[in-house]
Amino acid sequence: MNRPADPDLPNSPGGGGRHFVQLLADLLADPRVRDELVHSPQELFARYELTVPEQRSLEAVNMQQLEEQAQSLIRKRWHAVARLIPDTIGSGPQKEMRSLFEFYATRHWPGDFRRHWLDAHEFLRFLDANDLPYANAGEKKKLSRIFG
Amino acid sequence: MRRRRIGIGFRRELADWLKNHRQLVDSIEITAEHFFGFDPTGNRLLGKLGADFPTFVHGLGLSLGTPGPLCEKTLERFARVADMANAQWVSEHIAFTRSGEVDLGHLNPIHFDANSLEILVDHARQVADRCNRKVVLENITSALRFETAMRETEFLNELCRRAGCGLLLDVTNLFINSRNHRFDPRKWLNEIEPENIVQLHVVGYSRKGNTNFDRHAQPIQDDLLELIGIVFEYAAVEGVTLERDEHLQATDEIESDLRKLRALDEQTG
Repeated sequence: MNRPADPDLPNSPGGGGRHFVQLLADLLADPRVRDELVHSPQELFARYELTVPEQRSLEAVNMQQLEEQAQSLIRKRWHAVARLIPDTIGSGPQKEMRSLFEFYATRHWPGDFRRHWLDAHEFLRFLDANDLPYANAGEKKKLSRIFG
Repeated sequence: MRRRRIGIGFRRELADWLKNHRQLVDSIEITAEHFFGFDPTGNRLLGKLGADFPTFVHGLGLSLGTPGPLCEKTLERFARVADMANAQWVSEHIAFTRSGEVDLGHLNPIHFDANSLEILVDHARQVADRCNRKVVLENITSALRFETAMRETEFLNELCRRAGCGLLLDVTNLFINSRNHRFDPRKWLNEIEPENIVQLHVVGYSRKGNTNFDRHAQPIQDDLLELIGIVFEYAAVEGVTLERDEHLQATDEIESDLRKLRALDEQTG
């Protein structure tokens, strides 16, 4: 997973619950961590140094709800990006574009108050980097003016 | 007699419409992050909105539920927007949007326990101190719910009491959660101390299959309006914000919703 390098992000968390929130964020961001929660939860809990009550809480999590929450994050990003680069999103079969976006989005989490624009910019770069012929030239130019 | 300030969440697409419908809008809610660029046009707009309307400034990215210090730069920008807009109060969510390592960019639920309460109380106080304004905090909608010893309503009341903040009750989120997670929204409401409720968010819910969503895209439905009326009767709400983000070209729907809310306000006195 691509960890954001944004210097604005708080990077010195302290106090209780830190590891729980970190694990929850990683569960929502990365399907591989969700798989781990299903198949080897104890290793996961040990790695994040969860307390016993925190472990109990995650053991009781409804996996369907967790998956739906994770999907809702991708869905919101997809809607936002589709509004910003409609010509790119419309240039390929809808199902394929959605699938490509999901692959990209679960590995990149842009952290910036302009995150939707940044997300669109990074998705265009992802398409180009993988020789996928969908990135619209006009939309690339527009976003390059913002982000360089 | 009307007593609540019925208004809208400001979106730039609505700027022209707003000029011609001033009489329908008592207050404006400004999303802080939309002005974080601090470009001259945005700055002028903020000042004008603050001069023309009572305003509330609403944040999306302070991530109050994340343990550890708040992001100093985000907090500084947030407070600056509140000052420039002359905000009556500021608001954020009872949620986390990021951990120390990953920024999810959207709202996620916290675990309702003593530890989360400490974190939220501390962060809400920091925001109030920095902005020098009252803070109101909003309930979110989420597909994910934890089994916790502390009920959400108990957590919210305690948060308001200890942080000295108010509640921004998103009635649509309450409605959606009650449908998706099958509980009685009136019972939930009755567990909230009425004096905590300062502001409401409302917008029609979206639906796919048996699941309800908060896409901020629909006009207010009758069953939701009924719940808003119950909240009006229950609490002395000061501000009501129609929170529309999608289909903004459907200004007839927005006008209709504002009229419905104003009529409901008059009926409930």
